[in-house]
Amino acid sequence: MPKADLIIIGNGMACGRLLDEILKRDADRFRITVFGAEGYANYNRIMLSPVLAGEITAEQIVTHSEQWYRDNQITLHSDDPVIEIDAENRTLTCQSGRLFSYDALVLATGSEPIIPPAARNCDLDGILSFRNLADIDRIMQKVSQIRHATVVGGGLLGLEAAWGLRQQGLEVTVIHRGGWLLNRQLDPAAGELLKQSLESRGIRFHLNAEIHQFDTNPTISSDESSALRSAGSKSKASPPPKTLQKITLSDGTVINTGLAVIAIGISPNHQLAKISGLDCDRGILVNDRMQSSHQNIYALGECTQFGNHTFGLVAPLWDQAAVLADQLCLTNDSRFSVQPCATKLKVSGIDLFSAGEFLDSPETESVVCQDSSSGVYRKLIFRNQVLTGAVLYGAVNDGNWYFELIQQSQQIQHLSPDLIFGRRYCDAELITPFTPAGVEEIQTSAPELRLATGATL
Amino acid sequence: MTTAISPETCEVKTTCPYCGVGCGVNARVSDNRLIAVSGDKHHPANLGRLCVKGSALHETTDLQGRLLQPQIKGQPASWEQAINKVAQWFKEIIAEHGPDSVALYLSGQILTEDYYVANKLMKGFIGSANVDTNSRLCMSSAVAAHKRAFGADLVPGCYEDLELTDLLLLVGSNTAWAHPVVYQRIVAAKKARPEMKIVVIDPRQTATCDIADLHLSLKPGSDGYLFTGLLSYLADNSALDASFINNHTEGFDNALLAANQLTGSVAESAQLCGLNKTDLGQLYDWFSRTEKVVTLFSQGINQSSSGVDKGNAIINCHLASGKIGKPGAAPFSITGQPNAMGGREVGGLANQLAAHMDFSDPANIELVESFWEAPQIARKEGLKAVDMFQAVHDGHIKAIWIIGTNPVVSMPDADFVREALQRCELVVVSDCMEKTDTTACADVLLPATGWAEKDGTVTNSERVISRQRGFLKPAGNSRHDWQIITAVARAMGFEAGFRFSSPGEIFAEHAALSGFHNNGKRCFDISGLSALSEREYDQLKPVRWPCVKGEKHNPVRLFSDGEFNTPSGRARMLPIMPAAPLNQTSPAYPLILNTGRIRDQWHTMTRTGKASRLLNHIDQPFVELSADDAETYGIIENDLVEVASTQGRCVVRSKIAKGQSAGSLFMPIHWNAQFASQARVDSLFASIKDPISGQPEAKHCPVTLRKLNTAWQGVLISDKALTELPCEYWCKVPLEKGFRYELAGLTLPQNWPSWLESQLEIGTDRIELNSSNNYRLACFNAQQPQLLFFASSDRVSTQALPNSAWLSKQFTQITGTAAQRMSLLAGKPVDSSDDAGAIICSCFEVGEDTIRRAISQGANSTEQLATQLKCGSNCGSCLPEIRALLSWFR
Repeated sequence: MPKADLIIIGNGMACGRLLDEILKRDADRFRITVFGAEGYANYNRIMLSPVLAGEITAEQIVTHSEQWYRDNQITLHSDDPVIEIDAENRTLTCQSGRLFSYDALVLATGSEPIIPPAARNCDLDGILSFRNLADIDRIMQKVSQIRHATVVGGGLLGLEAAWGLRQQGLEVTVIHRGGWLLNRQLDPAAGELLKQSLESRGIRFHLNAEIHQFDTNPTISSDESSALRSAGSKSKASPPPKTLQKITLSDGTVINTGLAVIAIGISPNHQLAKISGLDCDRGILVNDRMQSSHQNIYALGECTQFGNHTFGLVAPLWDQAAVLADQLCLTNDSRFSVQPCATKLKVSGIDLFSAGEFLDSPETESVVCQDSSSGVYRKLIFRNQVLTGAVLYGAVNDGNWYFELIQQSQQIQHLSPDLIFGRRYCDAELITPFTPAGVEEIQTSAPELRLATGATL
Repeated sequence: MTTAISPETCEVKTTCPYCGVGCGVNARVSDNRLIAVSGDKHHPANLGRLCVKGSALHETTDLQGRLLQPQIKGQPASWEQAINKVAQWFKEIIAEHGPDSVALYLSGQILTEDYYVANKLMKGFIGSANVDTNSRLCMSSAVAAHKRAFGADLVPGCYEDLELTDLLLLVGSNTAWAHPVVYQRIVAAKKARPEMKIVVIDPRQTATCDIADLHLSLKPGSDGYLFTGLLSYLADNSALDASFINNHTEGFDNALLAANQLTGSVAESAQLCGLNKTDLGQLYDWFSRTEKVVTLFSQGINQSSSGVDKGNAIINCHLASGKIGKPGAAPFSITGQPNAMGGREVGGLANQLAAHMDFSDPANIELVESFWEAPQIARKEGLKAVDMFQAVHDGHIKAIWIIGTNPVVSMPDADFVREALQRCELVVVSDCMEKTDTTACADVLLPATGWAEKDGTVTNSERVISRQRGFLKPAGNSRHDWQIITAVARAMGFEAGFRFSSPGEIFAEHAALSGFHNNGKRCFDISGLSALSEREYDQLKPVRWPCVKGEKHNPVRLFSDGEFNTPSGRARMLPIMPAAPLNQTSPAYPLILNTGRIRDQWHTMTRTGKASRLLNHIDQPFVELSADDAETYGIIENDLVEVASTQGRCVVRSKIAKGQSAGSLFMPIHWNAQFASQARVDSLFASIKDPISGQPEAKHCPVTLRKLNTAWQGVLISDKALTELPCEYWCKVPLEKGFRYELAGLTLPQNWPSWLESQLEIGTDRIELNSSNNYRLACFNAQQPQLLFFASSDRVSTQALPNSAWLSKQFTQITGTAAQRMSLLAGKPVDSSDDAGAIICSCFEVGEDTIRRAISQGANSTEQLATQLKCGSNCGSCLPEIRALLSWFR
């Protein structure tokens, strides 16, 4: 019996995981073809910043090499993007005009960086994103020509980019809309600690800052003007046109900079799905079997929208991949659901953890512990005696335990202040063991803890 | 009496400076440091034993807190300046206002030689008897009772009698805690002869009751009725010694008549004492049937508005039944202080002149005058302690010199005493400690040597004179009390009487005075010791008085021959009409407060407070109350409570005690303003005193009790001593290193760090915990904790405050790692054997140490590690680090 044709569009981490899951279940079921937009094999996108920092090479972050695809008889097209899907006839057309037919199609087209909405002149040379290895190549080309780089966005990706650029020896300024760094994960105090730590490593910050415009016309400062003069002397006749040279913030502050890395967020890449008639909203709409609006077409990863949710962290994608593999291989009628997430991050060597609530409110009570010498900061948030949030900075031991306690929703505030020092300081018997509903199902079909981990994909 | 142990180390025989037992101590000294102490096997008082306080003596001789330099009005001064200033000031005041405008207030803890020169200066040269001592607060009722009954202040028996007796009555004495070595001797005797009966007569069930065959928990202050009742019982039950009464006593008929008036039957006595008839009858029966009876009595008898009468009521019973002057039979007053007896022998009380002579006989005055060649002998009694401080307050006394005692803590109505000193023209204080509640009131501070440095003699409760030997160099610029006093005397122009160059010379003069024109008239005669050479004085072994020159057989027990020191030679029996304590309860002050010592502290803690282990037993001031009263007042164990009287208030912890009767409370006497915010128990007492002895009624104070609703409780450990903390309650507990403060407040400070910063400097190297009801802070310097602070307003949490003992121990430890710092702030230890180390896999919290352990146990690939530990199996970001660890092992 001939194998069914499975085509996956997109060769990111979600695709890599799906391939693993399928091969694990039934390696002979499909003839698999993968279309990738990048000219690389599959790599761990979370590791882009150490590559930028020069700590490791691009080769070291490859998870599935080209040889791996060959070994598993998976056809990989890295240079011929799909431009249209004909759902009715189960075919798709590539840029080259080639036509492929499929029995099952998976869209794993990932996401696109968001551009600062109000900023002008976003198309100047030197304004780059930080999403893939090609971005890193472009950034590295700039690095040798400039002294100062700006990162737009003080979220995780932005801070990682800033740290990478700083390690390349550049002066780095971060422009952040929020009042503190990582304001989606941390409370102001932890954000301030992170800021101080990064400042001590030579990164400067503008918080509560909006970009008014990018500009080519430098404000003359001694540093940049001398750089400019030497650049100008080389090509006097035609200075490089439309190259970024300064950023003006809405409060009038001017930053002279030769590179702006935009890292203010992502949006699902659903362009192909949309033009092919699949139901889309912010992303490609999927049900809990990862099916799109069209039969035999599935979607996976950051391009999807499930209910109201879109995705940027790794753990739900792993769940999606497992569910989709079950569906495709008919091994199990498992369903996808959105699980609560704890965020675990590592920024320039600093461990961070955040789960549940992280901001104080009139209805909450918090316990804070801070060590000036080790830089450790911990905050637990209680609501009606129930632990509802934890922010850990510097030392993240017990993060998973707090996450568990948050899920259990027991009234445990009486265990404070021991609680903040971690599990080993608490009498374990005081806390009833956790027996979640449907425990068997979870044990067989999913890791016992769902963790979203470092880096948007 | 110094024995070389090694070239560097020697052992010196000396005497313990604490209670009146007067134990011999072997002090092991090396390089001017006291390194160990042990009991002297050859000393008759203790035969090798030491109590917990004595055993910790070597922990109290450090220089921390010592007064090392004279001060005038808070400014350092030279000795010359200080001596001249004091002398000149005294002279001026005397010149203007007469000799009675100055006073000396001494201590049962200075040595006999110090006492002697102080007494001589005041009574013989200044010409006033305004010299009194803190012995007034503990012994003077017994002194007066002895004088009334025996004609002189004589303790008939010796400690051996406590072992030889067949019935031992312990009256108003928690011997187990206040005189532990005597108690140990009693315990051993009871063990050897279980048929020996022990009866404890005390409103409280104390630790002493452990060995009692019978505990009579009588109504506070009713002891007098018990003993007049006993006298009646003896008469009614043919238990009198008619021949002794007839041949050796006088006043029996009146004594019995008086006794029969209120306590003619056991039933009446039992009712007045609040006892049941059977129990009281049992005691009476035992007493009447037993030949060898010792009644050991202490502050429960003495500190009473009728303390002298109570003493005589006891002595009456022994005289009427002939139970005196025989082995195992005596009324026995036991003293509280190491040298109360020495002071009494010298005559250092305002109603004494010198050497067991008083002002009643002009011949005595002449005798002393001629012996001293006194230019201006005092001819009448001076003011006793309570009246003395009253006169200071009134302005009649304009200069007072306080030597070796802390009256702002120990006197009744202590706030009044503080006020008196604050308004006094000149207050001179000699002390070995710089900061006491009393030195705080001084115009001139004179640094005295302390135990371990001082050299001289003391007399214990059984008339044994022992050498206290100096084996450490005087601390800083301190001088011996006798040196300071004689220097001032000389500077006042009294060169002739005060040319002493050693304590031995003073002792010789004291001994000579005791024998001067004595001829057997005065029992206190130590003329046998008046010709000791310096070397003999130095080598002097413990010796019991009398010790008469030329007498080969000095008696161990007094009155064995039935001869007493009254003019008639007969003992006097006194008609005693017992009285209830003067100050009675009222609706506003419905409870009776009793006071006393605790096992491990001494007086106002200036020395015992230095030995941290002595605070392990009890570390905070407390009030003991019965479970009934606790319920009535809504108090639970360890609550913060206010005890208030008409005179003042104290804030202490509650202790619910089985041994406490309903309506009765107990507080220890030790805590003072250096150690606690408001625990000076003597500030509660009105100056009610015995009309004869002048001894204050410190065992009976009507008070009221109230639970304080604390908003927060805390503990603070600091390497520096702090003063006056701004909260309702604080209590200082010295540690081996630094100090622990137990704290509580009625209002929650707005901001803890600023509350703390108002008291001390907070370092920047710190770890901190902050929540709505908890604040914790630990500060470090070079990994060494400098400050720990825990405060909690949490009423729910079981772990609001950590274990203080554990915390205190950590304070001396190097606290280097983040985990150690965390543990310190958590206030408890944590098992670190399974420490994860730095987290490598964030997703599954797998640390470097855990991974290393797994690799060393055989895991050799990322896959195996993922299977075992899950590390690297989620996002994979840590795989490079895991691989690096694997390759490091290969």
